[in-house]
Amino acid sequence: MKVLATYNLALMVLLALLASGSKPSIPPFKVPKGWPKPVYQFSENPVTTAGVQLGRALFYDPILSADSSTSCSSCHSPYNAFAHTDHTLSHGIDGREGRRNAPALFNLAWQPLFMRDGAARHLDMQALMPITHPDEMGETLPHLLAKLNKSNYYKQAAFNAWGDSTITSPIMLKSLSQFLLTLVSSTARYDEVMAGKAVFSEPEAKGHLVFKQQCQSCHPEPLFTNHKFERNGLPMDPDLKDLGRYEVTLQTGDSLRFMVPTLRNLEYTYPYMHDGRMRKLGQVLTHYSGKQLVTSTSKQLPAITISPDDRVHLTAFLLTLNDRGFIFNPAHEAPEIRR
Amino acid sequence: MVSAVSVLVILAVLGVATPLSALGQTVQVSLGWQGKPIALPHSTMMGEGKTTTLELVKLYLHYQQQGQWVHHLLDFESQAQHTLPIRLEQDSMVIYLGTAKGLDARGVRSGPLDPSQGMYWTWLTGYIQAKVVGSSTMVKHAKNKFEYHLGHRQDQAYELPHLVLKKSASDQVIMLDMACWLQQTNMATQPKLVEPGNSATALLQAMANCCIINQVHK
Repeated sequence: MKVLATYNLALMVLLALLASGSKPSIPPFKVPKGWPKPVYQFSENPVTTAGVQLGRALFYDPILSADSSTSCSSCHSPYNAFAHTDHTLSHGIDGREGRRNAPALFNLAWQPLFMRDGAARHLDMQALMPITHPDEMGETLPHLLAKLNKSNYYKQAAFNAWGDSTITSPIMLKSLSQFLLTLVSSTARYDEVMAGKAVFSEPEAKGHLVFKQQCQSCHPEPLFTNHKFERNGLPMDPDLKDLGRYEVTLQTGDSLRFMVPTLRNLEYTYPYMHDGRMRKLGQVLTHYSGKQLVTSTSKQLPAITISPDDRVHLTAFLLTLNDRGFIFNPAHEAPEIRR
Repeated sequence: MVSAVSVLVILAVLGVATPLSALGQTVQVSLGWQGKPIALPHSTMMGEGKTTTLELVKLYLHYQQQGQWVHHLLDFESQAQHTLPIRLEQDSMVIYLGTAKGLDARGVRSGPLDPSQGMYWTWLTGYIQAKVVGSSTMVKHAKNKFEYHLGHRQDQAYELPHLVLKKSASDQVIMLDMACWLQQTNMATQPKLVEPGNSATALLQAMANCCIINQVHK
């Protein structure tokens, strides 16, 4: 009996050492050269290899939904820069449909607010929204934690990452964040040009100038979003009745304001706009041509003027923001989960 | 050296039961009905021949102790009386109803603030500061159910409701009088209020107004 107890103790110490050994490891998160400092507080959730692996498994696992049919990746596919494609609004359990076009997920460490209306104020808390929304995953947190804690796979993965085999909300949500934080898109052709490793073609270079004149105020480089809530000039869809930021703050000035999306990976993330009403990039450019937009600080911008030539050049430039290395990064793909 | 109070504060933050005898003076929080303590579920006559049953009351409180913010989630359905591990270091201290502002913007937390406690507005974000659920024959539909989830919206300008606890040689009991509070609701016309906003923050303030602090002489 005493021998068995000693053996168990030795095993636990060994497992603990293995777990603690996985904690610092090589950080899978790196700030690209020349980029701003991330807003995410990594000191409160240090990214580890084991934590990322747990988060990655959770992200792809439909166990997160009430009927185990829908995972995060159902609406956020790696091959679409973690957006969805081909349909305007996100699809949930039981064939339900949401009110918004699922946004692309990358470069989230630099994002201060989440969701198109900024309802989530921290990346760690964001996943609660789709998990519990009846039109998305329709699950409750206690039920989900109970399901995860029945799984030897997740118990082991939690132990590896956190030294604790009981999956709690902080363990689940922080692990999901760790995986999401590794989704950094910074290896597009644009980035190579900025790093001096490539040069723009003539149309791309002209398009870059047009971009700087017409688009930069809302889509500043290198993230191509100012993360603010702006009016995109689209009328409200009478069926969806989505008032955007207003629904969070109830401030009339926030009506029809939506978070400015990044312009990276546009080729992979169609349809466009908060409700996915535009299927083609050309439609978006047509929409903005001639528009006089008002910023979140009520500054009236000069009307956007895009000549037919500018349009060609701008499109050429925007396509340099496609990041194939990010899209096809095997580290972002679905892992094998054996429950 | 870690003081006994520090240990108690840490235990409280972790949601661990606190040994009462270690405190000397105690501060207890209970529910009441017209000045008398009650336990849930509690049925009573309210209005002319109208029966009202309180089934669930959950409430966050927080205060500062030794420079740290301490949060408690008081679940009166599971426990009629809650003891706060408070040591009054000055002549008075402030106890806030609800959670500290902006907690949802600071990441996920465990213990009483774990979102699995069911006190988190996932789509509108932020903590539900208090919940009251029950039934009343004053409510003519939805199986006589009433349900209130109280709290504020993001960036909503409002003052956190609070109580001031004065130093005393006696034990103290904070009694939240639910008869007083229910009178502040428009139960018959608005039996369900489950979104944050001005109405919900007004009812949270009403909770503070309906609290009575009594000294208990041993």
